Amino acid sequence: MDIRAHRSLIILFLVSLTLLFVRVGIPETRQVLSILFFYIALSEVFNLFTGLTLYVCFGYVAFVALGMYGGGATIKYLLSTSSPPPLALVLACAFAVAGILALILALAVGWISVRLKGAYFAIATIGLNEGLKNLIEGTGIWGGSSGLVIANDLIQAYNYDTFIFVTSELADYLIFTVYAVTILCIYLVIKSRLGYGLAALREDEEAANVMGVNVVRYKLIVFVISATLAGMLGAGKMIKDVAIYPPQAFAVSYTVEAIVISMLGGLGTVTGPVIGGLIYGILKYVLTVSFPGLQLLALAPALMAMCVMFPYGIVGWLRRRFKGSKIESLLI
Amino acid sequence: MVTAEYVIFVTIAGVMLGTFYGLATIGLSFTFGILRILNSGHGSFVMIGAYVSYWCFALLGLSPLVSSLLAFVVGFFIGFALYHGLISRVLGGPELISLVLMFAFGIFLQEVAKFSWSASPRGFTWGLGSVNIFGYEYPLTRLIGGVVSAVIVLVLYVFLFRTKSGNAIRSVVEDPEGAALCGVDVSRVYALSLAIALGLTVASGALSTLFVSGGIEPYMGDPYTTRAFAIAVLGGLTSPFGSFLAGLLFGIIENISYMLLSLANVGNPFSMTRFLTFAMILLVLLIRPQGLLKR
Amino acid sequence: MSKELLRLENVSKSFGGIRALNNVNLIIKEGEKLAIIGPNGAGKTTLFNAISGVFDLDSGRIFYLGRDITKLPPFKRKYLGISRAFQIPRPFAGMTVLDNVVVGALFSRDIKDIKEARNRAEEILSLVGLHNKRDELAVNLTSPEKKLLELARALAPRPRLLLLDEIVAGIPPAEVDKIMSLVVKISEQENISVVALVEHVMRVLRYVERAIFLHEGRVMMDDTPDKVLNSEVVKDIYLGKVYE
Repeated sequence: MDIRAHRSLIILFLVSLTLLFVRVGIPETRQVLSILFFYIALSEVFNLFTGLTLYVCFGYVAFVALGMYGGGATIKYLLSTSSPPPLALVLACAFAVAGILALILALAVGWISVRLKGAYFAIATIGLNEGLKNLIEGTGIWGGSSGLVIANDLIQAYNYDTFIFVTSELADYLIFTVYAVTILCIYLVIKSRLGYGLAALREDEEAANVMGVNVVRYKLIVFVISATLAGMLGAGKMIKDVAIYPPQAFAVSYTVEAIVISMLGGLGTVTGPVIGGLIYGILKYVLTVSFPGLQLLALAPALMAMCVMFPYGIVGWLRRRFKGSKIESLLI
Repeated sequence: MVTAEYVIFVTIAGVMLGTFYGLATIGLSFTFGILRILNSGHGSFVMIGAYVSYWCFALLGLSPLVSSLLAFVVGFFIGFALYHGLISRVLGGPELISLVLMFAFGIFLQEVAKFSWSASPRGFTWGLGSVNIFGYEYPLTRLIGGVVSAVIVLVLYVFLFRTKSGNAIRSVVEDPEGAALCGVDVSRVYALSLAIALGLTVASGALSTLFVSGGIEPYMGDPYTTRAFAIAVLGGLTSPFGSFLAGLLFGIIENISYMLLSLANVGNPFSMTRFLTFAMILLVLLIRPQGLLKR
Repeated sequence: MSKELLRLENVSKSFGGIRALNNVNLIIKEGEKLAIIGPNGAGKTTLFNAISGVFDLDSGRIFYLGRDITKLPPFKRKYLGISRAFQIPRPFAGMTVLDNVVVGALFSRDIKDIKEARNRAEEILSLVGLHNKRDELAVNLTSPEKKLLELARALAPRPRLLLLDEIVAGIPPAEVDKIMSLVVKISEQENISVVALVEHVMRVLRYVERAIFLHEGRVMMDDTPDKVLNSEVVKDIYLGKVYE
């Protein structure tokens, strides 16, 4: 394998790992970096679909929430027996279930929606959050409006120290792993035939169709992959938060933040959400300290301004500015 | 007790509700049909209307009927400002940009509302008593709400088909280039259309207080967004009057859904109906993306 | 004895009451070069659209290499080897010239991976004379260059059947000769059947062996270019509309 050809991805990996080590090594950064990892991971997952197809899926939160519920319910179920299985197995099952549930939902919704034009697709996905939330609250499954809490189950099955380790350390590593898998997926897609097809689709979907690109199938493939990863991310978040309540789980702020970070960094790029996430994370931290509770109030106009003036994002802009040079090939 | 009278009552209530829903959705179809932009923040405008109605009542003692006029004006001006400030700059571009832009604006409205008036739900009752329909009590305010909604739609119809501006708008829908060649100021038509669309949506929000007396809070718009999408998809996203008819149908279906779900005792009927609304959207999109009512 | 490549059987298509294609029967063999001529509204573009698979037929069937492709979607037909160069070029504006052609090459049954597609793209670009512009963004090309790019994109996937949609409309005669010679050379090299849609530029007929005259959705004549151009039927309908 030609290492040099993939050096941009490797550099990104190294930078990401460095951040991870910072988090491990410097305890003061743990809180901030922990949240940052999640947002960067969410944005990369969002970016995998929306960045590569330019179709807006407003329903990401539903997939993450589904992963949270699925993972949490699995953990609860597995730990409810008198002799609980080893921790690694329980967590693995949680991730698997979360991924599978998200995959099934994505196939069902995606199969219908990816045939549709942009606006109709947006309609189908905007309703996804509301739909899932109302299903859970309406039927009362998985705790309904009261939510799902697995803290006690974990403490009782394993000891308290393990519980602390899992929720404050291991969870972050798991989220980081989802992030790593996601950027690998984006990279592989971009460099493949699928990537070419998607690039053509972004430029001109009709022309791409005529040129031989199976646009429906390609859109569906990235949609399902990114939704599955979103579900797994949800499992990771559940392990971290050990609780989920419908109002917070389906909060629109996640969607907004993922969009902001992706657009700020650069849609369709791998490095974009990382840079966007870092900048946004710092800004959010500063804002939360000075003006608590007002993030969305500041974010929404910022997002509107970006739409009008800065749609390519930082990495996008850099790539255009330095087209053909080393910088462009580094900022994948 | 499910008698024939009860079903008829529920249907009539559904029609009243439906005309209101139709009014609340026309703005969405108007915007999409003319500017080809989907208002992904639709519900927030309804929310603004509800607050206008609340404050008019609380501070000035005005009834929702009067405040709906003021609400229309508010929406009208927001429409103009939004068009010239932001929308005109993204009109020809990728769909993603306009979708995110409207979505962000909707969020912005929600946050401004939360900041200005807090997240605590508000409400008021314009107590007018009730009417007796087939032996069941029906609030007079809802009857008025339904009738007024229908009247507003009628006014819209007259405007679109009998006035010069209305004809200009319709010509742009048919053929923007042709219209421009005939001397129509397309940009002005777009601005006017957005203004009217948002005006209608905000006005419908004011009228919503005739149907529901409480629960006015910054995030009340989300169910309206889903509902409007469902209705618009049903009636044809580009056809305002198709949406109105679909709204009527939807009002009836929604009411009957509440009735059936309450009887069947399958969980919370309100949440379940909202879930079924979403499921219905997918179903319609699967079968006929152009909408069931459109030819 | 050449193999049969494309066969249209009783193909009909109407648009809102107007019969665009009226019981068209047509056989195209491997390696043939032909032109479809006819006045405005004759159904030429509709015929191309039918072959491309842009819409469903009202009646009739289309066979490609013996296989019924009537229900196949456009991208599948392209994949099997039916390639089309459009009248108004629609390149992927934000992509480079090379990438545009790579997309054309990549989605074809004969080309296996990106590397092969890249090589093929470079090869084709050299053949049409655009190789020096390969890293330019497609949007920056001149009009004639865009036509060449369109041709390159259509040739890249190693098609068996090439549909040229008014490829030389609005171009000076010298340029017409240049492009048509190029088309003939490449199609002979790679055994491609070429169908050129022509409305005004009769010069194209010098480069084909067969001409089909379409009028009001019907095939009125199907013969050598000389016979067709000199027939009474064609002269009647085309009087005053032909220029060299």
